[in-house]
Amino acid sequence: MKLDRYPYYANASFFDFDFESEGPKGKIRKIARFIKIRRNLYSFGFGDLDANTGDISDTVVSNNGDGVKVLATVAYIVYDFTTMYRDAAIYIEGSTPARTRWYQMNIGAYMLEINVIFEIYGFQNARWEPFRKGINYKAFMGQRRQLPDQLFDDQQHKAGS
Amino acid sequence: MSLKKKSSKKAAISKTSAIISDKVGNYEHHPFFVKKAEKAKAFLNANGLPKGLSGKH
Repeated sequence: MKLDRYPYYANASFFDFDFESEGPKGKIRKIARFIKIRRNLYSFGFGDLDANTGDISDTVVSNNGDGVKVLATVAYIVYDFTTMYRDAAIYIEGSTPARTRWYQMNIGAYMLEINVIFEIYGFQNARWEPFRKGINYKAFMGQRRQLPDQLFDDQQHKAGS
Repeated sequence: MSLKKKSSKKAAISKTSAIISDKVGNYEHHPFFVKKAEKAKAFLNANGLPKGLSGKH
């Protein structure tokens, strides 16, 4: 699956990411971070950086006409992070119900492709369940599936150790 | 970090599309992410994790 995305940067820890959205409103710097909750469990957040104040906001509506490209970039970031931290489970919740719904619609739109790589869960009616299209969830959780390439990598490590 | 861990991290980075840059800050203590973490912790403590989730969390 190839999606149009922005180039993005990470620091050496691979917890912090940075990219620029470009559109009619100009360039908007976006910061994304994985926050460790406990072992192998991370919360993910991203927002617009105000270079003057240093504030980050995920409630401001950028209106830069590139929402799909921004979300695709975020999807690549999540994929990359879980390439680095294979056992990480990622918790994601939109800053507003509308944003959470937007995430849900985009996960749903690519579910066939996503489902091969990630286990995705949605939270509704006070419980987690495997993600289903068309359901309004309050939050999401995803984790990389154990794929053959990972098994191969693990075997390579074992063989090399 | 041990040499083995370093080389495995390097190998994993080579599989990603991210460009590693010193210019990317560390936002660990930024109020925006601190608040996010607190909210997520509260939610997960109250509601638990999905049952099907594999591995130790």
